[in-house]
Amino acid sequence: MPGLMLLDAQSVTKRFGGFNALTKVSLQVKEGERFGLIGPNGSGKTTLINCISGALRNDGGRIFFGGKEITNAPAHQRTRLGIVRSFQIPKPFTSMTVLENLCIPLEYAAPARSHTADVAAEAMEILQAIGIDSKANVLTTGLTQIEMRKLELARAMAAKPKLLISDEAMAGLSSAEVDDVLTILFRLNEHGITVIMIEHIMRAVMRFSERIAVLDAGEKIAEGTPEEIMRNKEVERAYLGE
Amino acid sequence: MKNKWLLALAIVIVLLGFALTRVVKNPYLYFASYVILQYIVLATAWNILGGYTGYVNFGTAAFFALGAYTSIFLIKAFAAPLPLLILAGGLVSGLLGLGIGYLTLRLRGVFFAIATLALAVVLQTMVINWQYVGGAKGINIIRPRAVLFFTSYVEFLFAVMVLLAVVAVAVAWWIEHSWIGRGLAAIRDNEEAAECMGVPTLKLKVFATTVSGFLMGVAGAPFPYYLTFVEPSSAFNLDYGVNSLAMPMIGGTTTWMGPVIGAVLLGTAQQVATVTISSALNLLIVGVVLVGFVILAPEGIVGLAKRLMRRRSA
Amino acid sequence: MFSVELLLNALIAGLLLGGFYAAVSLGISVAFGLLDVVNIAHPAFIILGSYAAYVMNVSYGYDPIVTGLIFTPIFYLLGVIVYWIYYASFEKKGEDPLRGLVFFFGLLFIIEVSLLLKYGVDYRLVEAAYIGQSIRFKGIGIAMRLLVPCVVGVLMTLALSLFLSRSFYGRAIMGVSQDSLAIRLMGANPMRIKTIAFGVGIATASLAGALLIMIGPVEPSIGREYIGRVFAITVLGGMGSVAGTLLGGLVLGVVESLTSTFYGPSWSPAVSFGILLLALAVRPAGLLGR
Repeated sequence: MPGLMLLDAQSVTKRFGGFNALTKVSLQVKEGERFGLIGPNGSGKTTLINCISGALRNDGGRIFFGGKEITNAPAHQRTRLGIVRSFQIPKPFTSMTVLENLCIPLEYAAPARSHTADVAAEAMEILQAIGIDSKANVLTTGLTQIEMRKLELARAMAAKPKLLISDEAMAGLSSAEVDDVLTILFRLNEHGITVIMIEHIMRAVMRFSERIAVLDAGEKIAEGTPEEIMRNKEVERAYLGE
Repeated sequence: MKNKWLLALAIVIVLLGFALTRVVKNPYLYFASYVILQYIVLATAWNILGGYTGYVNFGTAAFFALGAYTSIFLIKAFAAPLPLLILAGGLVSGLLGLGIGYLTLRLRGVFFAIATLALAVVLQTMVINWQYVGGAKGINIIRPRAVLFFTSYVEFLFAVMVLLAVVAVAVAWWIEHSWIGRGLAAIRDNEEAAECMGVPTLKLKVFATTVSGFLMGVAGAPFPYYLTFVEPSSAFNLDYGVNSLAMPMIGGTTTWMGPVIGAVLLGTAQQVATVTISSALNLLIVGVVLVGFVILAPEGIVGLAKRLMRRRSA
Repeated sequence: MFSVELLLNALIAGLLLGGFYAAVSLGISVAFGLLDVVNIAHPAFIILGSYAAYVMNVSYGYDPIVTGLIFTPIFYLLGVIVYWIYYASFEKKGEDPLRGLVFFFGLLFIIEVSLLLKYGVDYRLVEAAYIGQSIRFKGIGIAMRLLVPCVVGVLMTLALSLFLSRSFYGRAIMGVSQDSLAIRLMGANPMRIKTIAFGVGIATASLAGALLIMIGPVEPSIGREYIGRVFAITVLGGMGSVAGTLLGGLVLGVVESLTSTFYGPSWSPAVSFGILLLALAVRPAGLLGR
């Protein structure tokens, strides 16, 4: 049902030694929503994602997913529940082919939500949907930059996410490649997947997101529709300085 | 279908091993072959954690010696039969693997490696202070007389080791081709990504450590009967650690074949060399070869072979 | 049987030993604590230093500390060469640390067995005027062979600490351990800085080895006991903290000495490794770690 809250992160705080990476950041994302997360470099976006996905343990606050509390759940469990993130710098499994890379999430993360007998066939389907099926039996070391990014997304898709967090998947790509990735994300959302997009490429974020949250120096300074964010003075100051 | 052929092959090898004892009478050959077979088990066991999962264990000697000393304890206390010794040795070492894994695998792989080194020394110190199994002086174990259809106990031990080697390789083969093996490979390639793709990394790592420890303990269990005199400094010898690491590195770490190739090659070379050159020089060569392979040919012989085949078909 | 005098003697011996242990761990503190290079071969380099002191002592009558100082630049060069090989083979390619670890393990083995081949399993020791003597202080005996290494060890720790905090290259090393990119932006070459750091780490092994053979006789496989000690001290003290290394060394020295006195010397090797395992399980950041 659209409109139900899927992700509820309450007052998330994360410290590294004496440094406050996140201070009481709250985030609510509705099911089926397209959500954007932006902010200057070092504002804590990736740290927040790490806390949500479980790569890091938050020091304060609570996180709920689909009504269940996941604050203390290990990362692999959160993935099995449906929170899937892609990495800014792709982290492929280097000893495996592109196809085999997808078999891991299909075997480990997806079974909680669906069962297919033929893992390889399903992996192939996903590769075809993304457009890198021609490289299915190639080792990951033989991929171009854009293909690696697509593999990252394909692998995330193979985990059958309810919530997909795309962490700067478009950084450094050409304009056409950005549109490529954007199309894939739109299509995923049409299939019912909630998407949180972290990007620096403003036109992509503005086009894609229904709502946007802005982080600066570990705090949430604004939240609203793209138009509201564009007009927000605080946001302007965060990006351009005083 | 392929599985049935492999199972048949395994049975044939074991039967061959048993049959060999009818034909070959030179006791030295049995002694030497026993050592090589023992290393097949140790190298295969090491590789499950080292090659498949990417976590280096420097303390093979700890698990091996623990299996041996468990045997000694059971022999002295209950005169237990060999199958029980093997099972017990495996279980105790497996538990050690479970324990040390659970404690240290949450940390970086580097700390696990150092902890395994620490383990060997701690265990050795404990055994040295335990008089019942001989303490620092060591202990003599009487080998039983011939058993069943074997003319000597050593031949029996050889046959048993053949069986154990086949079992160890079978376990490694099964893990490698199963979903567990794929998960372990994911952990080895990129643990962070594996965890985020739903792989329960801690559970799988502890599993690998436990199985690895179990097999090493199994290899150590018949050791007292083989050598008849066991003392801590030889049972806990670092050489076991170096060899069980060098053999998979040389043979190739990504598949079950690597440790076998490495064990046969290096083991045989060492057996031949010990006769001709001093054991210290022997070890020096192992060290140099290990460093050479790690720098120049990290995928080992199997990897080199694969590369050659790819180039020829390209 | 417990007596205050026994306890005091054990404590003093432990503290003195601790100062020496700190010297032994300095190299690891730099390599592992700051550079993230797991040089488990460091103890082997120390034993190498011990044998250098032995040879110079037996052949020319040199005092071990003198030998230690003379050989320091040689060991520095050795460290540079080893780091080049390590860097070219592993770090540059961004390989998993497994291979680097195995490399150093192999190196440890090679050095140890080479010494074994050249000098055999016999214990070697050095002769110097002050080694056999001891000072009596209010009824407590302090052996010179423990006091001198402790003093030199503490001096080494201070020297390294000053180097890291005051000199240009020292601060560059501290910088590169935290942020390689920033160093590059400041015009320094990270690889060169790391090479210097590693070289300095190995250089400390020369003097540390000389101190080791002063404390007691040495044979090639002694290094293995020290693997546990140096890592226990580094982890306990907090990675990359030189002051922490001194603190860790003192703690380990005292615990070992007390254990040895009241439970027997055969338990000593287990102490350091036991502390290491405990530290890893309970507080991997160490006492003073960042």
